[in-house]
Amino acid sequence: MSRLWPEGEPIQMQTDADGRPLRFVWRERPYRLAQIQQRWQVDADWWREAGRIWRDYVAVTTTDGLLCVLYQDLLTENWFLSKLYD
Amino acid sequence: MSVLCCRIPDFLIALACRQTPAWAGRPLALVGPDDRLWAVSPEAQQSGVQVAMRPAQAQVYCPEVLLHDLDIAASRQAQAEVLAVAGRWELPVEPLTWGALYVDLHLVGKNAASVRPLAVELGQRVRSACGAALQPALGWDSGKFTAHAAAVQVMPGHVRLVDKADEVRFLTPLPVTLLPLPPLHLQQLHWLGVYTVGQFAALPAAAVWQRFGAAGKLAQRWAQGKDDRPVQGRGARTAAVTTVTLDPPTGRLSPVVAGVMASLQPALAQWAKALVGLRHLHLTLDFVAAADHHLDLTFVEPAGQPARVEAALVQHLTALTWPGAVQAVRWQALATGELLAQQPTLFDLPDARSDAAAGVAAALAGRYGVVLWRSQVVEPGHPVAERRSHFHTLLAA
Amino acid sequence: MSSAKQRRLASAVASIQQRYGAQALVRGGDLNGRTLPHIATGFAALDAITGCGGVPLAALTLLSGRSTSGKLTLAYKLLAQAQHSDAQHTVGLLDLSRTADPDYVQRCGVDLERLWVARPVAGRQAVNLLGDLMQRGGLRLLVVDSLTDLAAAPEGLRSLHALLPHLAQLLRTSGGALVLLDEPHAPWLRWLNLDSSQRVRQAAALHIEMRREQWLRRGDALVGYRAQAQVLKSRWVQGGRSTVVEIVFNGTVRASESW
Repeated sequence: MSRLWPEGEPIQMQTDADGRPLRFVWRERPYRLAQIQQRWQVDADWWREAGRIWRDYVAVTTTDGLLCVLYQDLLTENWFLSKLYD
Repeated sequence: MSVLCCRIPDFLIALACRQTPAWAGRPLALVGPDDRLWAVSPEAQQSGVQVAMRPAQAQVYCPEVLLHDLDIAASRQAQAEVLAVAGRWELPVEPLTWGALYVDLHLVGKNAASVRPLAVELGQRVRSACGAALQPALGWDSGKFTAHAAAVQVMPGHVRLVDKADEVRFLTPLPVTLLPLPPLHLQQLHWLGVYTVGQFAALPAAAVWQRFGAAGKLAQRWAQGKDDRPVQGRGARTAAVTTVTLDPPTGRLSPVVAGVMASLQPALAQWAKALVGLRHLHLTLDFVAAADHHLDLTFVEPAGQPARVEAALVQHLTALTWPGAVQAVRWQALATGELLAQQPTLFDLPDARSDAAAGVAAALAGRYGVVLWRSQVVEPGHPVAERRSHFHTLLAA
Repeated sequence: MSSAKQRRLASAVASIQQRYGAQALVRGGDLNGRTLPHIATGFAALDAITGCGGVPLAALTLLSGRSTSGKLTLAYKLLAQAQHSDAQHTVGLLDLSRTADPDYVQRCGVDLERLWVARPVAGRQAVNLLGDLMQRGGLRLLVVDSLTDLAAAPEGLRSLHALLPHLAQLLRTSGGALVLLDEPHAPWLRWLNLDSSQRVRQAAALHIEMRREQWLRRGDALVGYRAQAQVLKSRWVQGGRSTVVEIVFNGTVRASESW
């Protein structure tokens, strides 16, 4: 049961050499990933006017107890916060 | 200008009771060709039954209501007789609604003294032609709204003449519900403490325009006695033929309805600004490899709301057997008419919940803008969360 | 009973009720016969400690907790419960952060047709709209998400404080319940009444604070979390009582995303 940001909340993500997310900054506050719970990729809606959605999603828990879903837009390579569980 | 309004109250009901005297004094409702109530007797209205309800809704409010089909042919015949009587002076006559019309007297009388004998003569002729059961009430003024208001205020068999000098004094105490504003606007006025025509007339013009739009601005002018609409003989002007092409041709209902409504809505909006509604819509359905089919949508009261027109369109198209796919629809507004004043109800309609929500949303929209929404999950299986659902405004169409 | 035993008992009660329904286990004290107008939370263990059987009608409830504490879940469950008690009831969500997810709201059991989502500009407009919704909307329950967003906007908190004295009368007249969501504040700020929510806390008939305690796992998969719900203030019972609620994810989305 979550909050959803339809446009995505921009975050600054720091990854390791393999591209694995390590920590991110959201609204000027740093969060460290405790565990990646799940990863999946979505490639959809290429036929729609709103455009193709091609993203790498990760569901993560942070060290201070948040559970959230992040994604990297593979077209722009930017990272966003999609959902925050509450 | 000099306008005489002749009005036979509850014309359709009185006509039906003239044919079947046993119905007189009983809760009675007449069902039109669109399966909606076209006329409701005062006894049924007291229980909350209203014009445009469905028969089943009427029975919820008044289980003992007598429901009978309206005799359209006889009604049209009687209406034609009334128009013929009024037309004997060869002056412009404009039908208003069933049993009501305007006569333009500016060529023959412009003050109360000169108009009185004409009004009495017309009243006697109508009574003579239609019988004592269909007594007219007459009102006269320099404008249509005030003339109509005078005819509503006076008892059948009487005439009320309003001189220009008395116009404002006459209009001031009348209920604001005499103005043909949408129910939501009347509700807002009620919340604002505006109950009379005089109070509405005294509101700042800019505020009325901002809150109620062009239609409200026009209604305010009428409330101030500034109704300069001419009496238009032979009914109101009609729109040209509009063609909606469906490419590719379709045998499905929703694209046809959507196409017709999309092309009709600008006209409806334009008429609404002038407090005019659609009375008769003629459609020609052009089927692929089959003969054209003609449809006539008529409304007991001029329809101002797109939802009302769409519901009638869907009903007629659904009742029709389609011989093939529709490739084009041509429509023509054969008659429009001025919107009639709404009858405010003490009783919630059966599906009042959505009406109530829309009512609150509209009232709050006036203050905050569009802030109330309803959500809907449209694609529950979509892989992207934000594409699964959307929001739409609570405001009525 | 030691606090560890109490927590284990509460956890067991919560698990049974989650699995078999809220009525499977009821505390003896709930059978007193005294009932206040309320909306059940959907978590019977929590209903039992609020002092009124859930959240009170015609009164203000403050629901605080940080993200992933379960407060939003609880709020959505309240919306569903408020609707279920009567098919005519409409409920509202003042979504100041514009992050309401209809898909998940629906999965919490909320009938979206009878949910109004209000998205005003934050600040004074939002507070005025709150008052108007309670007065005119005929809502059984209005959830405000959140007090933090309200206070962040200019004049928002000031407007809310100005509304508070009239809120009690508004709620009594409307008969609906009002639930405000809030972030937690440091205990020392609360004790000294120096936090931004202190006047709202004073006006609230009930204050529940949620805190996530641990993740729930099935093998390697994360299937939910356990949260503590503590009644910090209640008009009807002594504050300080707490219980455990378990929030299990409703995995009805496709296999690749079980959230």
